[in-house]
Amino acid sequence: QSYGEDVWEGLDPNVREKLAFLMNSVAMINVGEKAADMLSFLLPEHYEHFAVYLVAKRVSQEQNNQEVYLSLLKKMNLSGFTKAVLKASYHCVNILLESENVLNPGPERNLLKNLGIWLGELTVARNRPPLAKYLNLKKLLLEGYEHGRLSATVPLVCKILLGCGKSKIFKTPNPWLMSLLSILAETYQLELRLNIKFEIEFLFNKLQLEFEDVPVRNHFARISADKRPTESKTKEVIESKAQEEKVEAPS
Amino acid sequence: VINLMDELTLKGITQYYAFVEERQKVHCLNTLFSKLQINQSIIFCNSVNRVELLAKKITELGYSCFYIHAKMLQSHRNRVFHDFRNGACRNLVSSDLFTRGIDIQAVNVVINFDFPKNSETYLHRVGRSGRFGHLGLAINLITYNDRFNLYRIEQELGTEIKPIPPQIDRTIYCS
Repeated sequence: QSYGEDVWEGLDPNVREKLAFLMNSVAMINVGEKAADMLSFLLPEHYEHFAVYLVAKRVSQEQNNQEVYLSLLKKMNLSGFTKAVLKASYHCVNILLESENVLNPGPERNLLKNLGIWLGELTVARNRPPLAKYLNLKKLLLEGYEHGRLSATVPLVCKILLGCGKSKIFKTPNPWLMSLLSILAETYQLELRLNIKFEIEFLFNKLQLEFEDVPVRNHFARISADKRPTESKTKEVIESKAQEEKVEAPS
Repeated sequence: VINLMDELTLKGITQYYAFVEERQKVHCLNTLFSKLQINQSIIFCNSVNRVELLAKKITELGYSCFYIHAKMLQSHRNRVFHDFRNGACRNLVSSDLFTRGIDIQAVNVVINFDFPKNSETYLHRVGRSGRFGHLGLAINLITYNDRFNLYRIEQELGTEIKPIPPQIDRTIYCS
């Protein structure tokens, strides 16, 4: 995937080199100092380019550094830049969701999961909902079911909702959260790959919830019969399951 | 973390060299840090003294770096390595004390600030455990005196170390 590359190349080479150096050396021990450095040369005209680079090349690939990057954003405290980063995050998630590779285990699915964790930190963990006009989580799950794309959308939604663990608002019985958890609890009952189910279990665990705590409202049953996954799709799922087990076995 | 030598492989690692004079090395390192996409890096020197000097030098230049070498107390070494592993710092300057290879998933760039004298050391610094197919980049700073060692190590390991191109494709070392 090449998203972000051309945007990055479009930046002034001097600024690009300073930013790359900074992003290669920022860590928890120097984040305040690096934020000040960044503020000394980052202009509003760079926000969008840098935001796309940060999300597409750093955040999505370096899950281990996300905490540092979040802290950097916080220390920089530029609302315009933070907005650009949020926008870039939605943008990258949507690009990945359209990819076919994301349905199977591999680098792209990992990027999507990493972005999910990040987006959860930027939104729900800060008591802000992900905006449905950019990313409609409920729709992702329901349409994911219809179109056989749950193997991508379930992990994404679960990772985003992990951020709810830090929220004062998005906890039970918040209706927005409960409706999503209800669909996830229902998804858990479907014939799905174990690692997809595990994402749901992991989320419930982190939020300290039991499946019994969340009423299932049979969303999927209400999706009309002609829209349900056809047999061939189910077969595909089983086949890719076999493939996945082969790939993931060593870990 | 520790791997037996027979498990180490150069598979998945793209190896380059840059031909430099001794006094250009720090400048070259600076350039690499402005061009590459580094998650975490390890920078190797050939002596304890040079590790300390380089760490001091690059800290002044604004990198975040830890250093570790064979003359430090074991407990101190353990702490530095542990903190580096946990991402407290992005770059580690090191002497050859990882005699059995290192496997930190986040390390995608290894720089031989000083080129090693033998292929075993090279493999320990650059090689990865075969179980993980991690992508990585190894950059070797080569001086005039290293030229025969470069050739010999390439031969002995049956590998190819190419001259560094002006642009390095990110997809070969970033996941």
